[in-house]
Formats: sequence, structure tokens, C-alpha cells
Amino acid sequence: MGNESSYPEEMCSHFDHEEIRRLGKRFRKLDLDHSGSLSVEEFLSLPGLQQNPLVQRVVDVFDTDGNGEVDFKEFILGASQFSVKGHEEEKLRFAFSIYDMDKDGYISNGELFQVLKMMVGNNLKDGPLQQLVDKTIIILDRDGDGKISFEEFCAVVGNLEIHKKLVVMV
Amino acid sequence: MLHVALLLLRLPLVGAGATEEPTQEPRAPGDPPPGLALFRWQWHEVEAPYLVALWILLASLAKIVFHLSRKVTSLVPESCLLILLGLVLGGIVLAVAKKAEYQLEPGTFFLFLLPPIVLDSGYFMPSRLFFDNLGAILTYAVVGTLWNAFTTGIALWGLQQAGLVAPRVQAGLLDFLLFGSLISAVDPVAVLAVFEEVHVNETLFIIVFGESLLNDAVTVVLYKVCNSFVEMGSANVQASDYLKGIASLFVVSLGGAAVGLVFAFLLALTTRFTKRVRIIEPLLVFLLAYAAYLTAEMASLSAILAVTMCGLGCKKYVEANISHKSRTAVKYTMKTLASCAETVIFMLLGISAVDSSKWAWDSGLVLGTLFYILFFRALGVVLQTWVLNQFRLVPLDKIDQVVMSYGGLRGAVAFALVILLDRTKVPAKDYFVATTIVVVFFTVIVQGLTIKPLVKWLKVKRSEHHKPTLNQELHEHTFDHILAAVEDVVGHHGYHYWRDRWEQFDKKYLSQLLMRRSAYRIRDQIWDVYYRLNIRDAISFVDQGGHVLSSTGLTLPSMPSRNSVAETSVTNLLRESGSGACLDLQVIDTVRSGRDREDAVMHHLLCGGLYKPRRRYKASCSRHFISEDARERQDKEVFQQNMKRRLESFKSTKHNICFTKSKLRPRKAGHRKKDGVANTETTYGKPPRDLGFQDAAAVVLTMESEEEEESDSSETEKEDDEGIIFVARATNEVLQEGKVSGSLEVCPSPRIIPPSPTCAEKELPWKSGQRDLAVYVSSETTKIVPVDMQKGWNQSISSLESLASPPCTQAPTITRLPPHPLVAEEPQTPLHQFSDPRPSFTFPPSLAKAGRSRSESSAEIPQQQELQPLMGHKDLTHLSPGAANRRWHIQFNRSGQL
Repeated sequence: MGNESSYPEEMCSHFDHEEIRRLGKRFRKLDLDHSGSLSVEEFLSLPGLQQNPLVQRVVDVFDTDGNGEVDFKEFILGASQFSVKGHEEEKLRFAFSIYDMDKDGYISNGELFQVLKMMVGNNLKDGPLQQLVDKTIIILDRDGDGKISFEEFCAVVGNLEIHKKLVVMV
Repeated sequence: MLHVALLLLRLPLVGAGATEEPTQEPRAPGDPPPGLALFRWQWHEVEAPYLVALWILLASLAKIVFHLSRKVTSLVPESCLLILLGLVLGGIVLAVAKKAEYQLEPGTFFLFLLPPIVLDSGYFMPSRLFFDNLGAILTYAVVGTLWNAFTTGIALWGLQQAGLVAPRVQAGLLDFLLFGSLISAVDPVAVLAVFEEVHVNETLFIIVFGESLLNDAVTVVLYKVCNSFVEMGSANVQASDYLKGIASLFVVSLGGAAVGLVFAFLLALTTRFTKRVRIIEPLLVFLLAYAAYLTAEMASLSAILAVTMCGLGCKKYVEANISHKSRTAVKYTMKTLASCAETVIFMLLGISAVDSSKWAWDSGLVLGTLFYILFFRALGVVLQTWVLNQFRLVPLDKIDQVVMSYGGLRGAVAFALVILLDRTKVPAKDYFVATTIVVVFFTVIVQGLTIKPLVKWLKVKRSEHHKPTLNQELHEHTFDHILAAVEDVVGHHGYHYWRDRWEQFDKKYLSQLLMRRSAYRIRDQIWDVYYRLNIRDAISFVDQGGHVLSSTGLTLPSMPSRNSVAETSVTNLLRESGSGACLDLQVIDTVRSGRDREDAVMHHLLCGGLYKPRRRYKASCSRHFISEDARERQDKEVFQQNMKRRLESFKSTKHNICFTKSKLRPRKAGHRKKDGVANTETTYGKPPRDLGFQDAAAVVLTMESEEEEESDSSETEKEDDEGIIFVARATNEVLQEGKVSGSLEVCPSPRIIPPSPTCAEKELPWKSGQRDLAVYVSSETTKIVPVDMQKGWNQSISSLESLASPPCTQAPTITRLPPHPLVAEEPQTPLHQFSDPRPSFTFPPSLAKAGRSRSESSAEIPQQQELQPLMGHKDLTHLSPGAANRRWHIQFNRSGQL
């Protein structure tokens, strides 16, 4: 695992061979126990990530098969969504799934609250935060079902041009 | 600074004033000394400043007149109007005085008119945007300007060689290069004037504008080098002179920037000690910035660069140090001065153009120059952009390039420089002057007029006027966090990495040195915003006569008054948001009083509240001050949370041991103990059950959400067939009846009542202010509600449960200490424990249990335990005072449970 030669182009990522090689190097560096997959602990060994409130969510989204670990394929595919060549929809989908914790295709009030809670920590009290969440949901929710679908999410977030922002150089 | 403003126009007048000075007191020598004159006319004593003031007044009046018609100003940029006005005025002056007067003198321009504009733009420069695009800006400013200067100069020389320029224009290659260097620079004043009205998107604006500021160094160097070459004569120029010329580029630019930074440092340091003399704070800002400009000018460094860097560098610290009023004063004075200077510049430009003695026309030169500057600008932009786009994450597209090419406006700087030429050394000066005037007028008037339609036609992305909405604010923060995380994962350390290093340095040394201690006050700001939010609620409440919340107003969604605005219908609100927060009556009113204002406040709340992603620090610092402390604290908090989460899940799965400490809240613990004793054993054995949904919301993680969904649905079904009765009463009342009967009659739990106010409650400012806000809901009133809105209630209550009302954070610690005396606790006690009297919703245990028990399985318990550690002790200390601002305690009970 983590051997770049075993993952040629057909990984259907947006990366070319060189980039995959570099990511493979990175992967092996992160993979402290050489298990071939990255656990949350291994992610948290990075000082930057330790201070990132959303690290848990990001790792969860990377971890597409839900086994709690990110293997090399998931790693590449996850990072691939942030490639310059990534499609807008892909990036939006990633952002959406950060909120959509139960992966049911909807952001519920509770999910939004939880994600925001991670982001505000103790800076904001729950009362105002809940108000905020309510307000957000009301504004976003076009069809009135009390939760936000991907389409509704795109309608608002789409014009933020996040496909231009959610780009990482590899 | 006022005297500076008054001095602005003095210089051009000195000539006129000086000759007449001796005749100031026209008195015949033989006259006896006059007695006390009742009235004396002393025009000459005040002439110069008087004229200056009159000119500025005239310009201001003209501005007012222009803006009387919205249509005109929306079509024609102000700068065009001012130039045209100048032309007219110049014509009048010429006709009346028979000689051209009141012209734009280079000395006046560089010493007095330019600095305020540059300071204004440097100080209010969006620093994050600027540094994000620094690479592009520097490329365009340095390479672009060099390219423009040389190509234009050489092409014009070629034009002359080809015989298209009349032979009377006596100029060699060096003269044309000199001319090219002064005509090639994009002018900050013109760009600012035009682009501020066009509102293109920020990136485009910052690139063009940043270029126009930073190219000053290049222009100055080129101009000086060429000028000295011309003066030396091309024959005498040695190879070493070229090298010196190149070296001077670095000296001038870096030197200018260094001077600016030194003064920025001094300025920041000085403002740190102005606590007792607040009144001079604005003055200091202007004086030191002006000193930076003059110092750089004195050392022949790039003065524009110096002031820009000074403004850019000092802002963060100065804003933190000076008082709020001083900040306003600085802002307005700066804007006023800049706008005043800009107005005068354009007007004087117009007036100066009238003086035909200064210029000589040559069509070939004029047309050739016009063509070449447009052509080479476009070509340069395209070439540079092509190179830059290889490195840029967000490439500049074709439309951007068109606007950038077309936005290369020339202005007063070029004019002032050309006037400065020495006619004896540059024989073609008059032709150059004429060409410069035409170029400036063409770019400002023609391009200024057409750029707006062009931008519209090309559908260039405009900048958004409105503040980002609540949603955008939230999502952008999320994206920044995501991006930071992915960057870390991928291991890419580029710009953000160095930015981070700089932040570290800034935090450790600079801010310590340059900011006063009292400037660290993130916490206060949040309270402050929250306080204001509440005050505003109170005001709107009073405005509405205060009766809205009484029985009639509140309860009947069917009442026309409430229904007039669809979204304020209580039912709607409840249904849509489906959460307890909506039961807060103030919120209902707030929503109605205007979502925009609410958004604005929320925006501030968010600004203060959200964790700052790494890459956002700088921007946040400049707009709303975020102390360095805050960051450190945040890092620690998030780190703790992450680590605890991991550690805890690890431990709980392994040994089922909990490691949270009860020392966190000694006072609360005491309470709990009492509760615990009272209810001991009643529910021992299955404590986690009722706590589950309570604490989950606060920190919940992935697994929670699934169960939430379940419980959600089960709850709704279940409640459909049952009525709800809820009782609301004033806290005071409850407090009195308190432990004895009051709560018992409503709810099985005897401990509804919040304990005496916490210390936080006493200290917090809004605490006292909140009392007037009491939401009065009589019990009769509320009883009506279920009839009208049963569905809404049911839904909201079910979601309440699933969401968990926030403040119940103490719960987890208890359940996780089985051997501890606190452990045994009646299920609902956590609900009543908080000291905060905000509306909290109490469900009888059976309800909670019932809701829980369906979705809950034995497997759930470990999960919940996993969640618990996440509530840091800070949570606990925070939440109770935090939520304390509502004085009323409302309970909801379902009759079925009684």
C-alpha cells in the first residue's frame, strides 16, 4: 500500500503520475505505523490539524467506506477533489458532505448545529448558535422540508465560487 | 492636517501674492496714523489661504451639484466631470486674467495633494486581498511598467525614425525613453477614481490598483535615471551608469518600503501610549504617515511606496490601540482629505490644460503615443497574465485581462512629471506636455466613460455590495477550515505556510510590543455584540408597545396582525425551524423587525465567535480586531477538543473508564450532589438514557446523527395523539415558590429553579439590562397554543429532544462516574440544574425516556459516553452564564405524563 506504482492512472483521480507519486510520499510520511492506512490519530499527529476544528469531519469525508481509516485510494481520491482540475460539483459535494454527517443526502438542523458547534467551540453560546442555525435553515430551505438538500445547498453556496477557492496545490 | 490642506493650493498662488505683498498697507506716507478703524479690508493678508479655501469650496460645491443628478454620476465618472469643470474654469480664468493661473504645480501635487490619497488607499487597503495577490501585483507593477516604458519609448522613436513625427520634435532615443517612462505608469489617483465607481470584483480591483501604487518606485527610478541620462547626454553614459540605474531600482523601492515600515513601527509604538491623550491619536496617524512620505521624498526614495507600506503596516496595531472615536475620526479625516485632494487634482488638471503657452501640438506624436500605450499595455497584460496563470490557482481569464488593459489609466502623476522636465535639456518638452495632457484626458475621460459599459457588456463579475449573508459567512468559514485541513493533509506548504510563520512572529513579538494589553479583548467583543443584540430586541419590543408578547399578541397566529407577514406566523416559524430557540419570543419579534439587521448582528457574532481558520487571521485582524490571545486560546481549545475526543473514545471503548474530573465545577457539583441525594437510586442503572439527547447536541459527532433521525421520527409519531400543556411563569415567581410546591405541581421534579445567580451572571453587563425584557406569557395564553398549533408544537418538541437543549452540559460528568455519589440521579434533574433562567424546556422524564427508549439500544451507551468528554469544562462554566439572559423559565409538560 502506498506504493505509487500500484496505483496507476486508472484511479480516476485528477492527478497525473507525478502528483500521485508526491502524494504517495506524503502518505507514507503520515502513515506512522505503516499500516497502509491513515487513522485519525495519524492525522492528528500534524500540528496544523490538531488545531483544526473540522479535522474529524474532513477525515470522515475522506473515509468513504466508513471503516474509520483512510487508505491510499481514499487519500488520493479525497485530495483529488481539491485539484485544480476538479469539477465544481465535486467540490460542492465535498463541502456538503462536511455538513451531512449521516450521509443521508440532507443537512438537518441538528447536523448543521453540530458542525457549527465544532467551529465556534465555546466562543458562542448554544442559544445564539441555535438561533443562527434556525435562521440559516429557514433561508436555505426552499421546499420547506426543514432540511437542506444538495440542490438547496448549491443554490446558495454555488455563487460563492467555492470551486475557485477549494483548490490545493499538490 | 488642516493647515496642510490649506497649504495645498498656496504654492501656485505664491507668485501672484508675492508681488503684491509690499503694497499690503496702501497708505500714503504723509497720512497721520489712522485712529481706531471700525472696518479694515485686509484682503492681501488672507489672500492665499482664502483662495485655497475658495477653490476647495468650489470643488466641493461642484461635487454636490454633480451628485444632484443620479443619472449623470451613474454614467459619467466624477473625475471626468471635474476635469471638464476644470477646463471651463480654466477658460474663464484665462479670459478674465488674460493669463493662465492656478495650475497644477508639481511641487504642490507631490508634497500636498498626493500623500492624502496614497495614505488613504494604503491604510484602507484590504490587506489579505493585497497579500494574496502580491505576486501578480508586483509582476504587473515592475515588469509591466518596465515593459510599457521601454516599448512605448522605443516604438515612438521608431515612429520618429519612420518620419511620422514632425521633425520639429527634437528628441533622441533617450528623450523618448524618458517620455515613455513617465507616460507608462498607471496612475493611482485616476485608477482609484474610476474603479471605485465601476465596482469590478475585488481581485481585479486589487490587482490594478495595487499595481498603480507599487509601480511608483519603478516610475520614479526610470524617470530619474532617464532624466539624468538625458542631462548627461547619451554620449557620456557609461556602462556602470546602467548598472547603477538597475541598482537604484532596488534602492528606491526597498528603501521606500523600509522607510514606510519604520514609520509604521513608530506610529504603532506611539499610539500604544496615548491612553490619556486620546485626542491626539488621529493627529499622530496623519503626522507620522506624512513624515514617512516626506522622509522618503527627501531621500529620493519612493514616497508613494513609503506611505502605502506605512498605512498597510500600522493599521492593525493602530486600530487596536486607539479608541473607537479616534478610529472614526481617522477614517473620516482620511477620506475627506483624500477626496478633497482628488477633486482638486482633477480640477487643476483641467485648468492646466487650458494654458496653451505650455504645450505644442504634434498629431503624429499624440496619436502614436495614444495607440502605443493602449497597444503595449494590452500586450503586456496578456503576456504577463499568461506567465502568471501558470502559477495562479485561480487564473485570470480573458475578460479580466481586457479590463486590466483597459483600466490602465494615466493621470496627474504623469502630468506632474512631464511638467518637471527641464526645457533646456529636453527640447521637445512642449510636445511631450501636450501629448501627456491628451493621454491623460483620453484615458480619464474616454476610458473612464466607457469602462463602465464595457464592464457591463463583458459581464465582468462585479463586487458584491451587500455584506455576505449569514449563510455565506458560515460556509466560507467552513471552507477555510476544510481547505486548511486538506492543505495540511496533502502537505503543501506554500504561501499559507509563510503567512502562518509571520503570524507566529507577529503574535510572539510584534503585537506584544506594539499593542496595549487592554487591546486583547476578544471576549469582550462577543459579549458586546450580544449585549447590543439584546438591547435592540428590547427597543423593538418597546416600540411595538410591549403588548406583542402579552396573551393576545403572542398566542394567536391567526390574528391578522401577526399574519400580515407570512414568516412571522408563529406556526410557520415553529414548523420551519423546528427548534426550541424559536420559542424564544424575542426571536420572533426580531425576525419580524428585519432579517437584514439580524444578519448584520449575526455576522458580527460570527466574526467573534467562529474559530478563525489559519488563513483568515490577517483579514480578521484588520477588520474586527482579534487579539492574538484569541488565537492561542482557540488553538488550545480545538486541540483539546480533538485530543479529548480521541482519547476518550479510545478509553471508553477499552476500559469504560472515565477521566473527566469533577473538580471542573465545584459549585455545580455541590448542587448535583444535593440532587443526587434527593433522587438517589430512582434511576440508577440507566442514567445515560435521558442524558443522551441532552448533551449530544453540544458536541455531537457522527454517530449521534443517525440516532437523532430515528428518535425524531419516533417522537413525532408518538406525540401526535397527545396534547400538550405547558406553563410559563416568571422566574422570580418560580424562585419564590421554588423548591417546594411551585414546580411540583407542574412537573415531577422539584428542582426547576435555578440556583442563585452565578457570579458570571452578576458580572456580565447585559445581565442587568435584560430584566426589562421579561417575556410575559401567561399560562392561559400558552394553553391556547397547542390548540392552534398542535402540529407545530409536536414537531418542534420532537426536534427539541433530538437537538437537545444546549445548556445541559453538566450531565455527562455525572453519568460517567458510577461509583461517585453524584451518580444516581433522577433522569430529568439535569434539565433543571442550570443556573441560567433562559427559557429552557422541560420534559417530564417519561417523555424523554419514551422518546429515547425506542431508538436507544444498549449499544448506544458507549457511544454516549464517548460523546461526553467532549464537553470541556469550559463549556460548563460558559454556558450557564451565557444563557442567563432570559429571566423567564418556561416549562412544557405534556398532560399525559402528569
